[in-house]
Amino acid sequence: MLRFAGQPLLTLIPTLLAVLTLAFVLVRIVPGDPALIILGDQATPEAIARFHERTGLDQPIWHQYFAFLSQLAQGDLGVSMISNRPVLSAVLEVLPYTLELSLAGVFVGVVLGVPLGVVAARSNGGPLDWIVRIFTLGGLSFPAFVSAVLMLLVFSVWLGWFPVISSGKPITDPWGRFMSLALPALNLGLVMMAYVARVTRGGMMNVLRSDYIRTARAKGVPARRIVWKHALRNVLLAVVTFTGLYFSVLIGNSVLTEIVFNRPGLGKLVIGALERRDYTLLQGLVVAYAVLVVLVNALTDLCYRFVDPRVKT
Amino acid sequence: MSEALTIDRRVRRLPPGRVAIIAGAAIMAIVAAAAILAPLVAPHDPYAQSMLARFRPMSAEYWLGTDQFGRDTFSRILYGLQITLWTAFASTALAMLCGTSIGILSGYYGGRVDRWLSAANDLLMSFPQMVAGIIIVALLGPGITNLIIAIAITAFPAFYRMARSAALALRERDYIDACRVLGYSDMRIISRHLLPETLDDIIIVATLWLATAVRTESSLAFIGLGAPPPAATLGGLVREGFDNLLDYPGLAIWPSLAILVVMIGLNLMGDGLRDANDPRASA
Repeated sequence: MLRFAGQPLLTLIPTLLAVLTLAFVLVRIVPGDPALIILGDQATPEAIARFHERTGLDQPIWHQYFAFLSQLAQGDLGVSMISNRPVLSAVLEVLPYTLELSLAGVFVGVVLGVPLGVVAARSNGGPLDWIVRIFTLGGLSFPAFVSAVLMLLVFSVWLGWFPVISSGKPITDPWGRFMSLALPALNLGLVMMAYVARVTRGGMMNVLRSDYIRTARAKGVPARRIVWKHALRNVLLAVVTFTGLYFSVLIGNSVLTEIVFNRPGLGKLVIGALERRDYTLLQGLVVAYAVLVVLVNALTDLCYRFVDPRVKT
Repeated sequence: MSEALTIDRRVRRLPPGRVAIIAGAAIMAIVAAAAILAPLVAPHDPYAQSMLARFRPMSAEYWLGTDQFGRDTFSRILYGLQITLWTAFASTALAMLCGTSIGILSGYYGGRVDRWLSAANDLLMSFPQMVAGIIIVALLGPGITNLIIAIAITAFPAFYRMARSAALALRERDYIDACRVLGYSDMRIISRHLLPETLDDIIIVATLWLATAVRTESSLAFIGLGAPPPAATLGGLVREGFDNLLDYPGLAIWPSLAILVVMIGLNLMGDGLRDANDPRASA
């Protein structure tokens, strides 16, 4: 099991290192001295020097880089330039909200998207296919913030089914937490559903043409069973691949969703860090996003092996 | 020119793709005309404030009502379309130009530079595009030019990857070998033989990326990282409406619908072109 999971994880190390370097460089190529931006133009030279010393900016760039990496290796993302709070704890505090939202979004997207795609493929050119086609075109055309604003307006303001502000409810209030998650998750999921339906439809059309399906049909296996059991298993591979690739789009959409629904999360933290020019927090957040994407890629690889026993290496 | 003709011929064989292309192109023609002619069509000055005409409902004078400063929503949407379309078009063109040329050169020559470029490209591709856009714009500072650069950076990998893989596949073909034997220069082979072959795919990717660019631009504007005020942007209008959502929902609904119309038009065109070009990919 360890080798099973270990190999893909090992190949991630160079990618991760490159992303970390990028995060380090990105924050440092910003024009202007962060000390001046944070302390203001009127800051005394002593105050600036103190700030440089506190944040390690007075060290040569190579020292800073290796300090950054060795801190990271110990799981330390540094402290916020503004609040002096450890970045890791700020990230970990909101990470569950973003993870919860993303996972719920993926769940909604796959659970609604796969059946829609299957139905469309079976109808192939028929009226159901066209309905799904128009439906998915709509889904692809909604920027996440537009659908979020409209859903908030209809379901929370006009119909009053969901709370207007779905800010962080404690885990001790599961119903409140669920209700505050439902609409944001639906927002992420509906956009993803359109893509999943397309991938499923395309995959299903291909698989239904293959020899083993013809054999199953000749054997007299009921059509329903062929589609939902024999064919779908093969289509799911494409869906898993797609979900892995789509994750980075989903994370982007979650930023907008968090803003509209006023949910805590990585996205709101990024906006806050940018507004306050908190570069160390920003650097930590870039690292957090990169780690998240890299982990999801590894997870997708693992999923292949469970969905398709032929994948070994 | 010959590329346009081949697309056209395939379209004629495939009615569904053709319908989508025509419908999408018609929508975009109307939207583009409205945006370009905004100074003539708009019933009001989009920046003129009037404290007496705040939050007016829909009427013959103010077709879609007015905002908190008494500015005409319909006129502001028309001017917002201008910024959205220009930003999307310019950033996609920039990404297409840079991504395609670097991608073709990288794939054609191969070697170490190609390996490094591809690795860097994969890295850029794996990072959440929206988050990258937000960070780049915030670091570059506000302004339409910076917005265009930021969106172009996020769109670059798609063009690079496609042009590179096309060049990689084509350079092994016999006729390219024949060109080399004839002593054609690399520049001539690339511009006369590789580029035309990939143009179909590039145009399709560009159309689909236009939609993504519109999405990114309006999203950034919604967050407050779009063209700086007082410029009217569609995303910015939705944001202003969102801040008054409980009392004046129309302010958020109308610009939202405008964004949707643009997105549907571009997606219809992109989907149609792709279906017409590759019937198997139709989905």
